[in-house]
Order: sequence, then C-alpha cells, then structure tokens
Amino acid sequence: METNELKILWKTLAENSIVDKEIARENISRIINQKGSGLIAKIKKQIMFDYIMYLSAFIALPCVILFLNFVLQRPSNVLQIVGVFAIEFYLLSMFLKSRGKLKSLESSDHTGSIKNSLINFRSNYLKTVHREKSLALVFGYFIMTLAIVQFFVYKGSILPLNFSRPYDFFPIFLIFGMIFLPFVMKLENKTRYAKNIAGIDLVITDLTTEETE
Amino acid sequence: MENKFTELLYENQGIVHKICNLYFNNRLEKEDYKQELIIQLWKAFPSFKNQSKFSTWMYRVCLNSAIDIIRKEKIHPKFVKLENPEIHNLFETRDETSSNHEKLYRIINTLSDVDKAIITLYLDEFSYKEIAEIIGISEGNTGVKINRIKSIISKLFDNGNQ
Repeated sequence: METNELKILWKTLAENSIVDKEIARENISRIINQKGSGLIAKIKKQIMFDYIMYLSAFIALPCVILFLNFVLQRPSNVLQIVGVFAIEFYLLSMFLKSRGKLKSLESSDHTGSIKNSLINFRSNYLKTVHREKSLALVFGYFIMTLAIVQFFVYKGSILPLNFSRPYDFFPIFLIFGMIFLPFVMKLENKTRYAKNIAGIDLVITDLTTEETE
Repeated sequence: MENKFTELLYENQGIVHKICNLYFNNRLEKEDYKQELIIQLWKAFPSFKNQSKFSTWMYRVCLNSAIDIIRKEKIHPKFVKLENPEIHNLFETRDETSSNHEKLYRIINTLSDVDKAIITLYLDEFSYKEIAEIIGISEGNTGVKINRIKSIISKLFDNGNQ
C-alpha cells in the first residue's frame, strides 16, 4: 500500500467516521466548569472512599477497644492484643495502598513531549512507591513496638518469659516481624510495581534509542 | 479565556474524537474519556501561547493525556472498563471502502501507544519536525520510525487483502 493511498484512506476515515457525536459549545462549558467530572476524578472518588474508610477504621478501632476496656473495667488479654494489632496492620496497609493510588492519579503535565511526560510519570510513580514503602515501614515498626510494650504492660513485668504458654512467643514473633518487614515490603513492591515500571521503561528506552533503517 | 477555549475546542473537536476512538475505542463509557481529554485540555490551556497552531498544541495535550490515562488504568486495573464488542463496529455499511477503513483502523489499533501517536500525526500531515517535537525524539529517528510503522501497516493491510 502506497503512502498516498494510506493518507487518503485516513482522511476519509477521519471525515466520515471519526466524529461520531458532536460536542456542543454549552457542553464544553459544562464539562470544564463541573467539579469532579471526568474519568480520573471518578476513579479518585472511588479510591477516596476506600482511603477514608480505612483511615477511619484504623483510628476508630483502638479507641473503641480502649473505651470498651474502660467501660467493662477489664484489660485486654494477649489474644485480643494480637488480634487488634493484626487488624490494625491490615487497615494500615490498605490505607497506604489507597493513598499511593490517589497520589499516582495526580494530574501530570501534558504540555511537554510524550517522552518527557513518560519520564516524569515514571519518576513521580517511583516517588509515590518509595513514600508508600517508607510510611508502611515507619507505621509498621511503630505498631509492632506498641504491641510489644502493650504485651509487657499486660504481663506486668519484662522478664522472665518462660514460653510455657503460646502467647509468650508473641514478642519473639514481633521481633522477627520487625526484622523481616523490609524484605516483605521489598518483595511486595516487586510483585506490585515491577511490571508497571518495566512497561514504562521499555517505551522510554524505545524513544531514547535512535533507530536505524 | 473560557470563551476563547470553548470556541477553539469546538472548531478542533475532531482531534478529541479521533484520539478517543484510537485509544479508547474498545472501552465502555467513551464519553467519560472524551470529558477527561477536554478537562486535561482546559487545565493545560494557560500554557497555550500561540507559539504553535492550536491544533498542534491540542494534539500534543490529547496524545499525552490519552497515554497517561492508559498508564494510570494499567496501575489500577480494576478501573479498566470492560471491552464492549459492539463498540468495535464503527462502520455499519459493508462496502469495500468501509471495509478498508475498518481494516486500517484495526491495524492502527494493534500498534503501541507511541507508534499510534506517531502514525496519527504523520497521516494528519504533520511535518517530521513537529512530530519529533511532540514525541520528544530526533527528526531522523522520527523518519525511521514512520517508515517502520508504514511498512508494518502496509504488510498487514496487504495480508488482509489476500
């Protein structure tokens, strides 16, 4: 097929078939003035719901437990402490995931070249991933430290741990958790983000490499 | 500013339809994608300084936005709209010309996002220099890429005709 043939075909295609529904002037005005319209805004709204839900639950759960302990005049037992911290960690990780998603949806500059936009997108995406990872680590360590302190407060003394009951292993388990947390995060990041980054890297490499005939 | 933007966009709205059909043809709720492109154009409009034609600037922003939306959808796969097979059928009549149109459209749709942008600009008579600026590559590389894409299209087109 010759270039001219291709261009003629393209031109008739554009003229006859592409404009499927004209956008009226008043609709243009409505779209740009309406808050929260557009695809990204809709996606953001859905993620924002998760974000608020997980954050609220993360804050509310310990408050409810403390309130119940106060009302019932009964301290939590170790099993309850373990349960609450496990749920808290889950809520925290879900909250951070939603936060990362919101950040990665933030609007980018579309006035530069496509290559530059992709490079900026990649760098912002990596920053978001890194921030998410750091926050998860800080909060993760904070929760685990708090859990260990809670355990010993409940136990009433630091030593001795006689390991005769299963829950005496709880602090040991948490210390292992603290050691392995960065590795788990690294692995999780690899499975969640590596594919996305690799795809963008491929395109950037393609645009950066000079092709020869 | 809003009136000026509305007028310019109204006159050049074919670009929004074209990019939307090329990048989001297989998606449900195509109107949402059009709206998103218009919003991105409006957000970027203050940067339009009449240094280039409005249509050139509009192509740049629309192509960037479309590719950006696709990247974001890849990161958040649960938000990708399901494919709607009925929407593929843009061409209702089945004469030879419309069959060729459909074929060309389908072939272009198989290209990568960036190749799609390059060939769209080329077929819309943009110069190599303009294409190079929009994509962010050298003029020489633009020429080589265009030739490569053209030969892929020709090959697939001729194969389809045999």
